[in-house]
Amino acid sequence: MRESYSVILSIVAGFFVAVVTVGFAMIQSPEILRAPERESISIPHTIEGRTQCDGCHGIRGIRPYPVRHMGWSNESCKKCHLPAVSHAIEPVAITPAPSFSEASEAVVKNHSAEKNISDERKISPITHQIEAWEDCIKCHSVDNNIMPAPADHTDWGNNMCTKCHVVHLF
Amino acid sequence: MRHIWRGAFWIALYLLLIIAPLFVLLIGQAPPGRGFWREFSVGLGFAGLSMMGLQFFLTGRFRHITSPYGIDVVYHFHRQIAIIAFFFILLHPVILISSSPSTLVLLNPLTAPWWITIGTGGLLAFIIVIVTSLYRIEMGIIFEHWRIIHGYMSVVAVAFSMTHIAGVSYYVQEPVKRWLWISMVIGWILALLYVRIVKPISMLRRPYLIENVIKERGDSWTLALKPHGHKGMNFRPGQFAWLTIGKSPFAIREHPFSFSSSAMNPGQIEMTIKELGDFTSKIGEVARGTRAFMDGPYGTFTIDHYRSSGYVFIAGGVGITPIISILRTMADRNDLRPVVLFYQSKTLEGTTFREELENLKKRLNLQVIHILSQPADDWEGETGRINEKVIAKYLPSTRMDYEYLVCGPQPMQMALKEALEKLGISLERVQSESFNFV
Repeated sequence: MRESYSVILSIVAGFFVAVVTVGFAMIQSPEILRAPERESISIPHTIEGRTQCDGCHGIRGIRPYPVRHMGWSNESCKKCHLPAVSHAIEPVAITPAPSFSEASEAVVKNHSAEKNISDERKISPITHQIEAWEDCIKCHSVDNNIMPAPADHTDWGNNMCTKCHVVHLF
Repeated sequence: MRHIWRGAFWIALYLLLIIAPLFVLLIGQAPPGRGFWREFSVGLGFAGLSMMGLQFFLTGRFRHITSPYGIDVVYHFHRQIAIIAFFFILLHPVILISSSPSTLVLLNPLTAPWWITIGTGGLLAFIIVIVTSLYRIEMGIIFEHWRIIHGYMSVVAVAFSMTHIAGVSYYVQEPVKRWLWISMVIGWILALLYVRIVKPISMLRRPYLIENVIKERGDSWTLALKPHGHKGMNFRPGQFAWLTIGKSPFAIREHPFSFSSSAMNPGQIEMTIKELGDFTSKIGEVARGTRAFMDGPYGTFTIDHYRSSGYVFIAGGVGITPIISILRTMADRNDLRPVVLFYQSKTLEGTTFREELENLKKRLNLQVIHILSQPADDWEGETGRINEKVIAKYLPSTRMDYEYLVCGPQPMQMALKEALEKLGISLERVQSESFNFV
């Protein structure tokens, strides 16, 4: 008889805790409650092998998401944003594909007179896809440690890069 | 009324304490969420651990906590809520792995981070605690061994789980949150220290000596205990205490037994014990002069808590022990309120306190109805099991005003509940105690 008191109280306490825990999870990951409010931007690049969306689109990323998306998980992105059909999985097609030596020895015709670039020099090909990676300076700035641009590229904007450097995927 | 308010207060406080960690995690700058299912699993882990930590208070036998409900209800709650808490803790890794199967590799202790491995260790310790508690008898574990396993593995499980939280550190990076969790852990440790060190020290200062070991009918023995260097223990008739015989109170070798002596003589305590298990089967071999310690009194199975114009006592087997304490106390108090005792035994020869009850009938307004399940051929009284027909036959017309106290095996209590309900007795007037914890 008395055992029933404790059974009832245990069930009530357990249910109460479960409800509060669901609330906790919803506060921490509110995307489960959100329906798309507007037409979502299609993903213009391939998503294969790319699961950490916030690496580029986090609040401090190259292309940050809106502030209202803060706290939303990577898994939630694809609930609203889908890959655009026209931008399918294949990498950028390069036709015709110059050889590495040809690309590196190409002389740029359209030099900016202001920059006084007239010297022939070896120009490194771009060996990776450039969709969604428009911010070249992020990795290749003059003072970067990864693959810094030459000193005379200082003050050059991203729109200058592909005027000389072409994509060549091996 | 005061009991009701105190009872409600402790329940509200308990519910607040088990969910408080989840609110603490959200104050200040909460770290970003990692998906609903992951956060739900983490929340369950935190809540489950908080519930397990509070178990140290539930089993600490704190009188302010146990008195509104009765310690048996608190112990039963401890058992039930542990199952629920364990379920939450178990769901923590299950949901994590289900929502992200790649996390299965974390179960490999050779490659997983140390804080994951120690969390797995904590879960295994919890499994040992729960399984050995639920299936102690089936696994053949004797009570004393089980108590040792239970005590130490519980501490290991909680300690490992707290270390796991500290190692993951996702929600306890901020000093405020870290210190709040540390405060909770300190509270649990203090409760444990009180139970394992402070209380045994106070018991050491109040020892008893076994003055006499008396053979009773029905495979029972009465231990007469005399306080050594103190005045004894004040108790209410029908209460019980945990008794340690021949060992230090620091050793986990205690067993609960009801007082059988009158509450009017705290300096001459008796406990009547039936030979039923590993420990009690050897109770008759206890030597006079053996040192003993008692932790008590506990229990709400007493007429002092339930005022009434008369009482009906229903006892089965060793359940007569608290009843005889109540009757002896009533005799010493010259309490002549009407009492009807229904006493279930196997045989008249094995009816414990048979002669004592006949003597008490001369001092009290007492009617005793013996019901024998294996009577002798010349027995002319009631036979079989106590049921509503037997009870109805002897209850007075004022039965609705009486308080009913039932003490006996669990199946008997369940059957009597139904029988009394059929007789129109409100269950609010039926009191009992249940001690089948493990």
